[in-house]
Amino acid sequence: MQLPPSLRRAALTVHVVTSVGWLGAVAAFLALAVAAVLSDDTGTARALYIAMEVMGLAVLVPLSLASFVSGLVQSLGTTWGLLRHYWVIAKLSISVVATGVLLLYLSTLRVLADAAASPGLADDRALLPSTSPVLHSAAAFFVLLGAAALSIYKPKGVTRRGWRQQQRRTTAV
Amino acid sequence: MTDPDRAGDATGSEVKPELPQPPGMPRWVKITLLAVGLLVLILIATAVFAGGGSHRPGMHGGLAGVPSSSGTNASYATA
Repeated sequence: MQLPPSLRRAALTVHVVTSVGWLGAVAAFLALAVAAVLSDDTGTARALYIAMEVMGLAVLVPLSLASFVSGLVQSLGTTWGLLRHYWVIAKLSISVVATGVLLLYLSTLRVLADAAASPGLADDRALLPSTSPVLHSAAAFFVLLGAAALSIYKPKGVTRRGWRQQQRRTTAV
Repeated sequence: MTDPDRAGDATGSEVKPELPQPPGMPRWVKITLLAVGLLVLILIATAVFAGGGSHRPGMHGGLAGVPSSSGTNASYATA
């Protein structure tokens, strides 16, 4: 199914904005995570872990889901298709894995935020400071950077399925 | 001269004209798959040998973890 041009542009706008926004939000999250590890002030570090959980729930998750859904619409509604080109499959895989890991990681963020919010508990001493958010957000940043590069470069490579569809189209013409 | 498309083999059956073949997997896909596979293996090995198999905050070696008498941990412990 092909989207009409006006709808296609709108869907592309949503996809670009949410994908780049996701990358930017991950960069901001990484800055908070690094600041929490490096901070000498315990109060500041605690506030940063609590802010990271809020950011995960209120910014990262909505942007990741919006980027994933708008990417699906974009590929299914245009000639690119979902499984015709390797770069589309690679980008879809990145989106699925990154969103999945983020959703699973929310429980870790909750544990860290709870520990940060309750000074004196055993958990607090055992968990903080943690470089786990630094590692996860740094990995996410580079993976999403790769996804952005795939969208721009669109490296060549048609799958068997895409090739068959091309052949059918050629013989039909 | 015999037309190769119409030439028969020893059994007399006709050789069909060669159909176009689908393209193979591009090199960048193969390299990426190899790199991702290696990374997954390293992560699994790290989780099994260093992390004890369970996923928790700081399992990748990032937790300060053990309360110490100096450094940042001590400040968390006494906060």
